[in-house]
Amino acid sequence: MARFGMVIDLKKCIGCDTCTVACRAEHATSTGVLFNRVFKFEVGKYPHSKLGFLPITCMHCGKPECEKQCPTGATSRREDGIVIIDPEKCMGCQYCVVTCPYGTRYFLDKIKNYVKGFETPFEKKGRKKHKKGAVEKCDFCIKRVEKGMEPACVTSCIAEARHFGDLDDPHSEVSKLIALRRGYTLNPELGTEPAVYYLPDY
Amino acid sequence: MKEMLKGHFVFGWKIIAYLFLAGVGGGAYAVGAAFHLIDPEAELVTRLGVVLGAPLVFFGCLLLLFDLGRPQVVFRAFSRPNQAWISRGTFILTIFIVIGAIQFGFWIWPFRGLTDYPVFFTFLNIVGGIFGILTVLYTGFLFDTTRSIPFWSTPILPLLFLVSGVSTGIFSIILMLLFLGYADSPALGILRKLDAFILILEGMVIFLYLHGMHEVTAARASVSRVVKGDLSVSFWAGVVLVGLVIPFMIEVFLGNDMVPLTVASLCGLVGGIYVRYVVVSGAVKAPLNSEGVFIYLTPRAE
Repeated sequence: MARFGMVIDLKKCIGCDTCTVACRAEHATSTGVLFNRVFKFEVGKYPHSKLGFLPITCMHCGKPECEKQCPTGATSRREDGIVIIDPEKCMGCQYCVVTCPYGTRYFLDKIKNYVKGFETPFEKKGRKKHKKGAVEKCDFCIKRVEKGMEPACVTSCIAEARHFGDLDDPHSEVSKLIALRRGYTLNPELGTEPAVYYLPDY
Repeated sequence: MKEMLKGHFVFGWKIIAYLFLAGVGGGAYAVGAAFHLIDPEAELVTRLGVVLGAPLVFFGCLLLLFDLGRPQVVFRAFSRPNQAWISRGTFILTIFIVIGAIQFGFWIWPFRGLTDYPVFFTFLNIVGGIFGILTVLYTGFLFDTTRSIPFWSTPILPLLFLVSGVSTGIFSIILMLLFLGYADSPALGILRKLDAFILILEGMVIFLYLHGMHEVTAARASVSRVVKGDLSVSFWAGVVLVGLVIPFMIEVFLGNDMVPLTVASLCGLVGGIYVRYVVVSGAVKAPLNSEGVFIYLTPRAE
């Protein structure tokens, strides 16, 4: 069985936020809800400092903290490793938002339009799958993946910093990159076994 | 230091109020049930435990319900007691409220025949007492299993909630005794001395709790917020002075007098609210660790 995963090359990432925008375009998320974010920060002390970028999405952990704490069974991990939320089952207790170490979950307390008081046709079309009062997050663009396409953030990345594929297959692009460039995961000390790997920027 | 303060978030007042009410209710009921087992003659305390216990917890549960995003599917919270503490808590709260309701309904109002069946009554007290303690404890375990927040991820937290719950429970019973005009009840003296002892315990638990938080950066950030940062007034004035020192002094030195004991109880209850407020608001999420570069999660952008 496949285990879908992502590799983000921090050496190539220029922090342009195209992935953030592409993600919002794909999922028509409410204002303030970002399934994908890019952290920008300073590394080192001036004059020996540089800008660092860290794109964050749901890590689709092998042992998800959110799934462990979900009382309703709304959060579940599919056989292919993608962690999904069923908004019909979610009661909006938001404890997964608290417990996620990566801060990638959002509670949709109210649906906000980009233009105040006006819903564009695009927003109207894309909002059908969003449920007010439920928690939502990145689902690795499950609809696209099932059609054989890559997630929107991977396709749109202008620097080809993102790669998507099967972590269980040692010959896949992502597995090779992880082995070759010593890919690492965030917060390994928590034992969550993320499926999103980062390649160091050196 | 400012960097460290990022990444904290605050639960709403409803959650803090629930934690307090569950502590008072569960604690008061457990104290009442324990009194019944030790001294069945002291019926008054057991009765007050029943009057306070389940109704307060039930009110707290209503607050939780209003805090949900989609309360219409709340029945799903029973789905996963095998691993989710919220699910276990839902069972615990339900069982506790049902037992409390049976005792209330058949002993206090509208029926009164429960003490005619002493074995069943004792059984209810034992099971209800256990579930009262579990009501106080389970939120501690819920926070304890939250590994992304080092300030919560400690087994001392259930202990702190337990000690604080029992002490606020005793305060609420004392307050009710005074309010209903039982100022000469012998139970009052016992409760007062027991509570002074528990306050010492609570002070020690709080000290150990904060003292043990030195291993992880985010935990140190939490402690510095509590001890000298934005929560320091709530901690030193609310938790330590109003919640521990004043009631302890009054209980030890001023005895059973009506006015000081009322002040002590009110202070103790306010302190209980502040304990929950400081613990909940002091949470700082562990930073993202990207191979040694630490990035603090900022609160959600609006």
